[in-house]
Amino acid sequence: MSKTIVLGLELVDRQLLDSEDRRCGNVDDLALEGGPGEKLEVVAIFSGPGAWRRRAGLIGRFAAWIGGGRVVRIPWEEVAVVSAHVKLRKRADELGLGRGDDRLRPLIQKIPGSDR
Amino acid sequence: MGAEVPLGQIGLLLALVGILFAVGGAAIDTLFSGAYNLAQFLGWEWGRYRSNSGAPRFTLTWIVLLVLGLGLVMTGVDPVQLTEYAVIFSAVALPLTYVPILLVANDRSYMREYVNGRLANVLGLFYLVVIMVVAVTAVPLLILTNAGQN
Repeated sequence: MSKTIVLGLELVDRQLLDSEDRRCGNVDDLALEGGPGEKLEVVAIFSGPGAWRRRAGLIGRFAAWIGGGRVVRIPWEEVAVVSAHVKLRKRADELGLGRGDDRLRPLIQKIPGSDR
Repeated sequence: MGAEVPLGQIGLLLALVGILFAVGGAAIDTLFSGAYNLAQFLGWEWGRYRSNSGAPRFTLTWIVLLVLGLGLVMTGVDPVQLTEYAVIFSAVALPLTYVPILLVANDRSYMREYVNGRLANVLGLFYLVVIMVVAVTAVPLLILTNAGQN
């Protein structure tokens, strides 16, 4: 973890992968902590439509509303690797990620051949 | 009579089957392209290495696009004219898909030893200029030429 990364370019908007390599959202925003004169630290990742509100003005608020406005906070301790993607230490369902896919799955499973 | 219709009914059937496969193949490309775009933008699970139920939102997206496409064709719109307009607007959108690929090709963390060299970048930038010219002139030309009618 000694490599320097540019948060805005190399962390924000990257794909989140859970411990089983399931794609479960993007890094939509970060939580930074540290007062004046203190060290600034990344303490959490925000993922989900609710995080778009702060990022893209009117369009962001509209997109967040369309997307249901949910946002998941992932503590930085759950991050295993930051590279082309951001790999997490736990499964998506344990972190509250990938809910949309999980909710839709029973419906898609009713279609013949959906397991292929 | 035989000379005028060398293949007859069988020829017609062959042509129809050919059209079915050509249109079907293009439809699969288009549906998956749309679903890939949306799923990758939003960080959803995607891809055919998962089963259909393994990537539910991806699967639902291409099904919805299929229904929308079918609905559009069933309105009775002239498919040739629709295609012409679609091609023009895809030319407008070309730099938006080309630039990210060029950027990724220069990103060592993705590409490692396959990262773009100088020659690839010179050629890449040259094509970018060509694409930009096409994109910027597409709509003015569409209007000026009355969609190629004069």
